[in-house]
Amino acid sequence: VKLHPLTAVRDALLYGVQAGSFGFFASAMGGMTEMVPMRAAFVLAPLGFALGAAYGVARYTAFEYELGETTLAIRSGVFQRQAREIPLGRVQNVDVEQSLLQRLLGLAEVRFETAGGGATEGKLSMVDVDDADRLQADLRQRRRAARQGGADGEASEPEPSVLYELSLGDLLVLAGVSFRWGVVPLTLFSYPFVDDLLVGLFRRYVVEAMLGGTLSPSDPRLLGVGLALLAGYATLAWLLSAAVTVLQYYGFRLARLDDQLVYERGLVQRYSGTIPLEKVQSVAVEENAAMRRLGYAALTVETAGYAQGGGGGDGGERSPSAIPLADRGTVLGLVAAIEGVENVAVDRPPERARRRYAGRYALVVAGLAAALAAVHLLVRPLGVLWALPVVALAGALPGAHLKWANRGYHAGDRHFLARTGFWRRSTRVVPYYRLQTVVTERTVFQRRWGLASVVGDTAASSTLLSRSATAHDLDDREADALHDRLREGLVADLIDRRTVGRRSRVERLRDGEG
Amino acid sequence: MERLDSRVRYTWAVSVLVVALVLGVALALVGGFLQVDRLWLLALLVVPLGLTHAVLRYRRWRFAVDEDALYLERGVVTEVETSVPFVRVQHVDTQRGPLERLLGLASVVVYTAGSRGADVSIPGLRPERAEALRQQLRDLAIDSEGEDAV
Repeated sequence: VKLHPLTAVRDALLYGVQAGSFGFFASAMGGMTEMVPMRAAFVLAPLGFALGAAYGVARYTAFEYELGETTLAIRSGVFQRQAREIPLGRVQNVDVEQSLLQRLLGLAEVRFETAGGGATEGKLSMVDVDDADRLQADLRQRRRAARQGGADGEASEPEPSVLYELSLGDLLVLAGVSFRWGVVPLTLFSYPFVDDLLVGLFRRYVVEAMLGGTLSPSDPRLLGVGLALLAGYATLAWLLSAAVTVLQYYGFRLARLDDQLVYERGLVQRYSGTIPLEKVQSVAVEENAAMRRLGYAALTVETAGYAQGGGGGDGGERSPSAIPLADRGTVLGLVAAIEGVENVAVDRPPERARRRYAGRYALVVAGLAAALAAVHLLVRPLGVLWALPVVALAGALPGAHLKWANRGYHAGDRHFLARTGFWRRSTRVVPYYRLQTVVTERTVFQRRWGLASVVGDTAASSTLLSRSATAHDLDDREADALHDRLREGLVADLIDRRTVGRRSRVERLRDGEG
Repeated sequence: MERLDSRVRYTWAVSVLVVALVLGVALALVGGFLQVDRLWLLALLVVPLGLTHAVLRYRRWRFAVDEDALYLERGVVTEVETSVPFVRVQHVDTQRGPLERLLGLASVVVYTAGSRGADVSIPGLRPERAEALRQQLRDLAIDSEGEDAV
């Protein structure tokens, strides 16, 4: 099956403009160095455009996909031909994305993720939006058939049952309490805006006063101005982040359809995805400090689908949110339904871990103080800045306590729970049978305190941001016991699943709705 | 628990010397630029540190093929213990770099689908041992074939 014909138009324009501008700039450069006459641009630019456009069209004609009974086959490539087959049972997430223009034209981009490979494994850009829906329905139907042992096409498509909907009020709360670091570079690009508001004010009141001689550079009021500027910038970034969040999560809806979780979201750019429940590696309850205060939580569901740092589409999201924000009870309810874990309570690390954190922070503060002292003595007097380490020291002890208080683990009957983080607390729930390796780590500093950390690694797409489930700073002996427990848990759980056939996630969810 | 072949220390020692050499050249260039004489001597500090590390590393390194998992213990600054259940083994390699070939050594690398999979490797084995271990792990992985890993 071919992609939508408009893909050819888009690709032709895309590559045409690319190659055309290359031709233009190449001749412009050549013109400057007088190697080719400037006039060459009139030839090279259209020539580049024509070649690029031809390549775009050729790409379209070379691309073909076919959803078969057992595999998704994709042929692509103009110069380097590629034929790929993805067994349907190996497909993890399926995402459908529609930009505003694509929505107006009734088009969509479909992405199939598997656990292999780096980038998205099967990317259909673009198909008709009805085709996208049909692809997903066909995939579901074939999976169902495979599960029921080849009884083909009999089972009718079940109705999706809505598990959760993000209300407008909750959306605004979500926008308020979550900060997206991704907007920071954005604020720098929106320079005129920042320029007018912040830099403009700064120039008007500070620089002019300095030049006019009414304000000296060592005036303590400058510190106030600096703080005000910082606060202004922070507010701006926060507003921008809130706007992005609203755009992304507007109309979020999570439903169960057959053996999959299905979600959709987005105001301008529509985004929808499916997560097969049998592919779920782990779930994580995410609560940042503000959400905990207000009694909210979020839930992410990890599969092995997304490649490192890639995937997820907009916002650089790693593992899709099953629930971006809801009251804690709702979130825990879904955890119970997906994993069969009723309680996400954990045991804290031993008390000496807290002393360790306090010591560590105190060392950082001491380092800061030493650096400032050196600057003060050797470079120039620093004035009120000496107060900085004192303030930091005052923060070190509560900081150590909060870090300690928000860490912990629990090894249950069938699951390993690990929690960490104060600002963004994350409680990861890993079924034993999803464990890949178990690792115990003891740094030099941990050994001094008789502490160790235990990592339960899964096949989930790991990123720098979300580390695998780790029980931090346990007592040495406890760590050894946990290591063995995880190992035994994995083997026992696997045997159990093979012989008895446990109640699946799908059944649990179905019963939960009952 | 099994230990590595003691010759593995030489491979580590050689890599220490290579690092020291590279560092020395870099420092010599920087020293020339900043007009500081004999800055490269700093690189010599790396040598005793690195050699001590290599010896300690050899002393710490242990592994065992348990009933249900491959178990490794290693690390000098950070001690690491890893269990790789056989069910989770995706494939097993034996590798021999030029230096290892020179010393008559080989490594076994065990891959899992985990996010930190490829860092499970056992260096400093005699080639026959590496070969045998690879086959043993392969057989154990096949025997314990369980639910689909991902």
